[in-house]
Amino acid sequence: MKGAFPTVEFGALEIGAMRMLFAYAVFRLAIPANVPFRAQPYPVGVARWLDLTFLSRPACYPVLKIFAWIALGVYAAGLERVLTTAYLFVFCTLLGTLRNSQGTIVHAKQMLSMVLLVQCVVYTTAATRALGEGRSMFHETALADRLAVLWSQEAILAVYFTAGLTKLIHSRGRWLRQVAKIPLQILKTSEQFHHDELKPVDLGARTTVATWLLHHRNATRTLFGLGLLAELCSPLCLFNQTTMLIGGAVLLLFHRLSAFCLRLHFHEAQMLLGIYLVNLPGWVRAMVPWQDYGLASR
Amino acid sequence: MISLWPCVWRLLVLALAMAALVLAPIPGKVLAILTVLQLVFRENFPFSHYPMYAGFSDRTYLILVTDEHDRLLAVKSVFGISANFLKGIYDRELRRHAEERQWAGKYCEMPDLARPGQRVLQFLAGLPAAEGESAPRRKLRLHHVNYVIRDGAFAREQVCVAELAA
Repeated sequence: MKGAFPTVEFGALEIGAMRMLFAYAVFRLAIPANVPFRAQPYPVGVARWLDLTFLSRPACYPVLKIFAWIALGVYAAGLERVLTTAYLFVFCTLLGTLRNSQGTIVHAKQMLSMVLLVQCVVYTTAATRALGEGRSMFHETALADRLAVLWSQEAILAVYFTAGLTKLIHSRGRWLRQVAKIPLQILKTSEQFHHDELKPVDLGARTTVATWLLHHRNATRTLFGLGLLAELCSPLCLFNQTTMLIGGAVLLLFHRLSAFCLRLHFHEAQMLLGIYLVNLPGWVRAMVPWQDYGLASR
Repeated sequence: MISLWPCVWRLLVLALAMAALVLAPIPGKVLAILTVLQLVFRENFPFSHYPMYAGFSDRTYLILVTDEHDRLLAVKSVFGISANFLKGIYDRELRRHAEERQWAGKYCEMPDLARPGQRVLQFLAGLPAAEGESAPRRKLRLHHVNYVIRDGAFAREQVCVAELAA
């Protein structure tokens, strides 16, 4: 059965659009204006061996940030993919590690870093192979570009699959029963959202929603249980381009639901789903006739 | 006696997941490898096992930071971090305090929350001032807010647990 799945093809324009949109996502979401953490009291990851507080130094971070902007520009232009993905992966990973070494874990930028990691592996492997074959070290084929997209899709879906499995593991299979208590979280996150920037929140309306969910436990279980089902079935998106679109749209829908209920936006996850799974440029290419005028990658 | 069941359950779920990936007619080698790595390395960036909302109970809590007049401060604008991140710092201090006191119950039910609250305020005071933050403040206060389900309705309880001169 393994060989039965249809081959997913990506056009050159579509891959270029994905690259530019991904660069924009990293620019918008993964490069903060400054780094406020001057210590790493509870180190995680590489912070166990490396002191990453140099990132918060005023003389250091602006320089690294400028290099990251340059790397993004070069990456978006489709040049020098090995060095740019490697630099951006290390940059984003060190920033995320320092933030998560404050004693609390933020689940925000891991997906971006994982996509950068798999792309870096793909391009480095392709470059090494090209070097072994006596070609230019930085010779990257269209095949590497397609593989980078496929692996990025798998990295994104691995996040949802892992999240679904963790729910089963952590709750020892009782997640569906426990999720009826989620209305409390709606109230908590609403108040936290207001605390962030004092933006107005209609606590009355949100309490009404939470109360309704509290009193209709089976409806709550069904609604959020579908979210768990979507996470556990997320690998099936890899079947073909249509399942990728449907799966991406369903996961986006659940992100909108959690944004409405829990004020959890996961902007980077939504952007990556839109870029790599929903993939509107790919659908345009597939549907309009100019796809055959030399635009498809060879 | 240490129960082996959590470990057995974890392995069982992982084994079933991997079996499903092998049997499904999809290309999923990278997905399978990353899933295993994420579950093994857990919270070591860029890996994560994404435990948020993996379990729920009848009560939850949050913290609020105010000035000396109990006016709520916009933590993102003032300190550059989110309220959710700040609660994570408070959770860390609750865990630390529970270990120091050898408290076996729920962290948020500890009778004395002043010490962890004080440590959170000290953490905040150590952060550089965010751009544009110039409002004078003499004190920071930390409030612990409990949300519980009681008799089929929500109940909210708020108590000030710590204060620090700014």
